[in-house]
Amino acid sequence: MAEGLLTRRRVRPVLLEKPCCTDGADGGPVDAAAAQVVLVGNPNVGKSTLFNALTGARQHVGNWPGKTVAVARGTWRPAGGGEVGVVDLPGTYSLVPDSPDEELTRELLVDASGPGRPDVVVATLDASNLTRNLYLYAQIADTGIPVVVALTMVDVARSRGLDIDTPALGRALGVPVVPVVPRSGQGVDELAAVVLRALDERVPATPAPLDTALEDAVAAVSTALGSEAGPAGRWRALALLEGGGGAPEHARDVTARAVADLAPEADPAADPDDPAEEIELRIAEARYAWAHDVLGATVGRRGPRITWSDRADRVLTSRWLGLPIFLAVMWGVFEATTAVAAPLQGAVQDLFDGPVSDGLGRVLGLVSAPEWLTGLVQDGLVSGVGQLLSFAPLMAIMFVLLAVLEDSGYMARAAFVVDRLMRVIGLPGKAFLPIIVGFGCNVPALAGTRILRNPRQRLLLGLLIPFVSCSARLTVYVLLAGIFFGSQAGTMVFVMYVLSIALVVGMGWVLRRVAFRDLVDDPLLLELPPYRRPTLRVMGVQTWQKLRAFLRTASGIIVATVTAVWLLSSIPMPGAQAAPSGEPVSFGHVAPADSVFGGVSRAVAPVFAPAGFDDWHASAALVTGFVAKEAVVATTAQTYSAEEPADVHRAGALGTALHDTFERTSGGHVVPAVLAFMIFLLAYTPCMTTVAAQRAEIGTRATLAGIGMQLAVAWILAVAVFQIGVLLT
Amino acid sequence: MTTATSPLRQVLAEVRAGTARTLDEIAAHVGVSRDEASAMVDHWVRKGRLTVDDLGTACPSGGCGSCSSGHGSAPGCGSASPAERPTLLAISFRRPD
Repeated sequence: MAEGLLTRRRVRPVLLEKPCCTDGADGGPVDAAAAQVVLVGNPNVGKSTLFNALTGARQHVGNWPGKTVAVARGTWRPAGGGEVGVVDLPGTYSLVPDSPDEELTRELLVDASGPGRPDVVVATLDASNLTRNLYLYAQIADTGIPVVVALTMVDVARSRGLDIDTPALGRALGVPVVPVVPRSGQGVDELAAVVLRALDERVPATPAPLDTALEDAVAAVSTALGSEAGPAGRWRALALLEGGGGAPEHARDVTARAVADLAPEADPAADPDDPAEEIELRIAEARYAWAHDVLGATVGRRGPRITWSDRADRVLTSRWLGLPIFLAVMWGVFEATTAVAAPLQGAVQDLFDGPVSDGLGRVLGLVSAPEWLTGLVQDGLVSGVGQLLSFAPLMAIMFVLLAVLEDSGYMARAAFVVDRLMRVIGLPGKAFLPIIVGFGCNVPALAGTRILRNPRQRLLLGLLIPFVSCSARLTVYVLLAGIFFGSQAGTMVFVMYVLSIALVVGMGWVLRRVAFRDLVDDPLLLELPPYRRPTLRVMGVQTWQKLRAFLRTASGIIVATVTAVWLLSSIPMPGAQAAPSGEPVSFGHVAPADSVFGGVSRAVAPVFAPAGFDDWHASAALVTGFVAKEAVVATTAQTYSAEEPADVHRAGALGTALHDTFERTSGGHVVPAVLAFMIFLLAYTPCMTTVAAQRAEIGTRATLAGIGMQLAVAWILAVAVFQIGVLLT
Repeated sequence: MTTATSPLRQVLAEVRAGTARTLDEIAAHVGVSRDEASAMVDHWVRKGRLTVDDLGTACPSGGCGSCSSGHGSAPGCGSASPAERPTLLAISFRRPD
């Protein structure tokens, strides 16, 4: 597979110049001094290396007149004397052209006549991928040009357990076959000898046989074409049967009858509206059947070589073990992340809560900064940025572990395993790509939905992406899990990710049955890449890119949100009560709970009473979380520090405050209430940027419907989790 | 070999039905070598019946808003080296638009 589909993307046009020095006379011996040999083969079979080995420095490149395609041309001086012109045609998979490169090859081998027609084709075949190479060979043989086969990559084939019987291959094809190693020049002299012989003898290659009905049709059309068929008569007859051009007047009836005779055998599943396409398919089947027979007669297989990679895949992608192993691996990632990062996180937090905050406080005191500025800097910016930076070690460790999984090739296996879940929700398997990207950030994931061609599938995936837990939500999980679940923090974070996947699958299942019944299952064939040892450079680059992007974005959001929250917390609500000290209420002198921010958050809070977190701090965090999840932790720290300034420099003060809040709002059922809060956070609208991206991808109406769905689902799940938790505890 | 059940058609049918998930499984189901199955999948890709996508997973996980939107058919991630990672090759049946 890789040799065909992947290498095709690497094919680059080679420069071409019209060959100039052939006598091209058909039907007689050719003077080798004026002969033209063309090298034809699939891309990346060693053809150009062979060309270099044959021509040495005697080569040049240039555009073919009237074409943008180009080719290399040179002069070959065989050991026996004389000169032969050699043209290195662009790599091609078929003489039925799919690109300008392939069109040029077809024109030269099929359409050219007289001086432009090659005298001998050196078909360069890759021994390690013989099927597709033989298919091209079969087409070349139909052109009626003498052919010599240069067999490359024999060593690669041998390493794959394939032993090519070269003499037998030559007998099966009816042409000389010479194994060559172009890089070392091995076999080039033997190739020279058989090419010279072919130039002398000029025996057209034996065509690959088709089935009887096709051969009869080809014979009939060839006869009808008569002398107009030219030297590539068999190819022309086949092309007419395939619908590749209008038949001349005198052959039109015969061709139409032949097509009609062949078309009734058409498979309706193929294309009932196009008999020519059905015939083309039959010709292809016949060529593959011929190639299969040739392979059977000439290739010895030493049995499939089972590599350690194959053995690993038997377990890692197993139908029953694949998913549990994937979940276990991800659990290990989060467990290791939280365990290793915990002390580093505490150290960074202590640094900001202590020396940094105190130092800045002293500097502000020295310059007699106003009280509001000191409050904004110490309680807002330093606290918020400190919270953010305390997550940097955690993020770095997680990114490194995920980079190991990706770079080793395991993530491709994970994607393979998850594919089955995708089918449950009516999405094609490749929909998991945006979903995996969404675990980093929902915004590029939404853009990634464009890989789906079906607009209905794009809409469904666009509605589901916000349920994928992005890395910004991870900071809140880690904070709350660390406070409320202690040594089980890693497991809890892992559970949140599992819930995220379950939410995507569950909502997809529901939406498919409610609003997307028209979607059909779209199966997928996946080709796994080989495992490899992760490289430090790639891992380092990826980790740094991700960490830098997180910090850059989050820091901007933190500063903007903290400033906005501080501003709104400084504006008193109408009718706010004066402080017990009797100080009048004014801008900057108001209890946070009585500020505009507190008032709005307090108004929203009762909505969450059934979920066990009816508190303005919690609703304030969720309100800013609607803007960006990166701001949730900072806002939480800000609202508590503003209210309890005496505790803010004490390690664990935020945890104590949060614990007290959930204890009070949940009536003592802290764990269910915290779980409900985390699940609400997971399921509701990720951020405003995601909303904007969603609108760009699926439109305003669907986006608004999506927001409503996210809020409803988040609330229902949070309430259900809390209420069930209360019953069980 | 009859055309109704030729390996070439069987390969397309296997992908369409989703009965096989890997090239090796297709080769086993159809009774051809992996090399043949691969060439036949390529054939259908050329004919426009199957599509192939490289499914890379590399993308910066930079938090909301950190990545600019994608363009064309590519997700908008600023990753500099996704192609350096082992990527999954996805072959899917192409339904008429």
